[in-house]
Amino acid sequence: MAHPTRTRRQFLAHTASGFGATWIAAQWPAIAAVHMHAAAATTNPRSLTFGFLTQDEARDVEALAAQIVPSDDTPGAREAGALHFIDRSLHTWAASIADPFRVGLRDFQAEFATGHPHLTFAAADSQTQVAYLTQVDGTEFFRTIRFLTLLGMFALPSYGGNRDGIGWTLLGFDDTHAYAPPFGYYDRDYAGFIVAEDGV
Amino acid sequence: MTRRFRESERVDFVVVGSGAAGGVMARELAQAGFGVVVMEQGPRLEAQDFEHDELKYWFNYGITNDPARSPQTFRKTTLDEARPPQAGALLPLTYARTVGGSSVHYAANYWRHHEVDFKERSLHGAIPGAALEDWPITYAELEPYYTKVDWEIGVSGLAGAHPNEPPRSQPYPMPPLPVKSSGVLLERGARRLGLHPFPAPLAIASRPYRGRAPCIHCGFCLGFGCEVRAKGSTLYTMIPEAEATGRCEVRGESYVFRLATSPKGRVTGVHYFDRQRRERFQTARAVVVCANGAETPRLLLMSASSQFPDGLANSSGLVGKHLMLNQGSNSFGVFEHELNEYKSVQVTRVVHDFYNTDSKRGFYGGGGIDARIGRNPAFWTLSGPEGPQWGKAYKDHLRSFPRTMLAAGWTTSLPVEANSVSLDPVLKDSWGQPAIRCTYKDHPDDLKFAAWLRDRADEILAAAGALRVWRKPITETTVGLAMLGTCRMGNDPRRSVIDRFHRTHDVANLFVCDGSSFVTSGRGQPTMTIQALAFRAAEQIARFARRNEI
Repeated sequence: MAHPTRTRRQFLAHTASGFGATWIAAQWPAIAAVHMHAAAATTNPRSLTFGFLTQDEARDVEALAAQIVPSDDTPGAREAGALHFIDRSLHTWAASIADPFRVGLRDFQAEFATGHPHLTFAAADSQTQVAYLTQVDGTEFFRTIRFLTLLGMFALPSYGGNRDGIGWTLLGFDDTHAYAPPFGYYDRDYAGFIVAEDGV
Repeated sequence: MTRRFRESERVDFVVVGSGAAGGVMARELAQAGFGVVVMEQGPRLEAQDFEHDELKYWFNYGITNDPARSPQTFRKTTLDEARPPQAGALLPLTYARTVGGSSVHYAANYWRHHEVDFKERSLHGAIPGAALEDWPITYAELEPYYTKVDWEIGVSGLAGAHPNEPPRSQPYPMPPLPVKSSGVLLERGARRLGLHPFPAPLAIASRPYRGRAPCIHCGFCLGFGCEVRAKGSTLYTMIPEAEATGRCEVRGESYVFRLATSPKGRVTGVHYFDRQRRERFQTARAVVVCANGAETPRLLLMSASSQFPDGLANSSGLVGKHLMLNQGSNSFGVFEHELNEYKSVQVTRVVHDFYNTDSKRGFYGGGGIDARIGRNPAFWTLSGPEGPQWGKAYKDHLRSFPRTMLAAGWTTSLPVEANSVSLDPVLKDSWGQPAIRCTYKDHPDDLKFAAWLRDRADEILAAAGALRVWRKPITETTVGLAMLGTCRMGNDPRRSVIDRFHRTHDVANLFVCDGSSFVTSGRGQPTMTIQALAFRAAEQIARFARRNEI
């Protein structure tokens, strides 16, 4: 493939042109369906209201996510919109863990309040948050929110997180639909496979 | 061209399952002139239905069996209580539930078994805690069918590339895929240690092949359906060729839950649920079960009757027993420059120098090491080196993604009778049929060898110049993606379920061919051997049918 295509949509168009008009005619309903799906996903405005979390819960969830992948010289989970991914997950594909998640969050908040009366986790300073998380990062609730935060950083942006591909930029993942060799530094000057002399 | 059969019409063969084995079986029997109905519980999807969506395929059961409809339970031993896995986790026995089966989402590593795989009992003797047996066939008998897979499915590779290669009668039909940085580094490290790395044999087209496009190096093989039909999935190879004969119907969303038998103890057809979950029946002259190493034994056990109280074809009591899931290891090397392993196929170089069991090590086991991506980006981020799994340090670890490669060890599982697929006595699936209960605990040698091979992988990464190496702990197996051994092949009807031609010892017109036929586990890349067995079995079954011996 001489010209890597940037998106699935371009890719499909490219593939189709390569296969000719008959192929397009045969595949058109399927291609159209994919395009409509992609368009719906990209034009759907990211909601600022929540489908599952309360505003209070959302503040603590966002603060938690922001400690799991912090913002430093580069954006973290907060900028990636992990919160919206988590909220959306808990009333869609991860609905089966929504209730345990809420119970876990309440326990997390209650335990924090015992050590810090008059303070919510979200309102605490970063040092206090980190100190508390270090104590509770072995809990099931923490494992769950870590899992959801990472998916909210790195899953497809159409799920509500990974805003503007922030997660992929952090990873150094180039979201292109097809690639051509050389792929990396070490295969650039590869001389070709040579059977070892003691080989066969 | 696709033929449609009436249910009342007595079709020559019903093939249950359309995956690696079922696809081959369907094409071979249809091309041999027989009428074939393939029953597939999953839907028919095509290349344009697949996408690069990790959340969908790895966490939302996009094409795999899912716990909501098809739950399973797991226990380590028969003394433990069997429980469903945690919400969101893969099922203990995970496979792709779609036309083409797991060949749709496989990484397409096509390793042949070596000659030793077929005679390990003779080579190593009895091993305590295991039921190690020789296969009733040899490598030499299977070689022509391995070659058939190379050419009919389309395997890219380089013949004569390493001294441990089993004998081959033909070269590969396509050259290897372009090497990736991980392949160059594995090759460099292994050569420095005196080992013999070689280009990975893959059922992925490296150039246009039989009407299929070559690989576009998109990087989404393992866990995903190929979007350009470059992977040799039976969905793109065998199934359309079977349909093109005009004698084969692939009936999607048709879930066979019971094989029917006559008073004479012969199979008469299959009971199944259609798309609308209505009970249906298809009459057949003979049935070939290719439903995979989990669903095949389950179906035989679900077909128990007063005549066959312990399940069909189960006079040996071994249906579902000797489950083998293969152990393995994960060593990650972080290098100075970018590898960008997320691009292109999973694997481009392999080492088979540790394939054989060596008694000097003090335990049974063998395996291969390959250089690969590991996982696509989101999945990759979920686990890191020992230490904090969140915060600033973890974020720094995430930045090492493009400079990291995985040297994976693929290793043996001994056949242990207690490791099994059985019917859960309580839990039902959403059709009201008994759920799979998986019982599995690795033989101690399996864990010892996986740890031993992981050290070799670490050494290769270090010799390749890795700045640092980190690895995952060797843990007891709780999830399997390739299920082997549960209807083992053998000459003795008391110690095996099928004979050397895949006919069940107990029922003359019932055949079984898939991963369940394996006697030993190989080294964790079974698809090539499953398909070679299927080509061989189909030839024999067609011969029996022509002679009226079914």
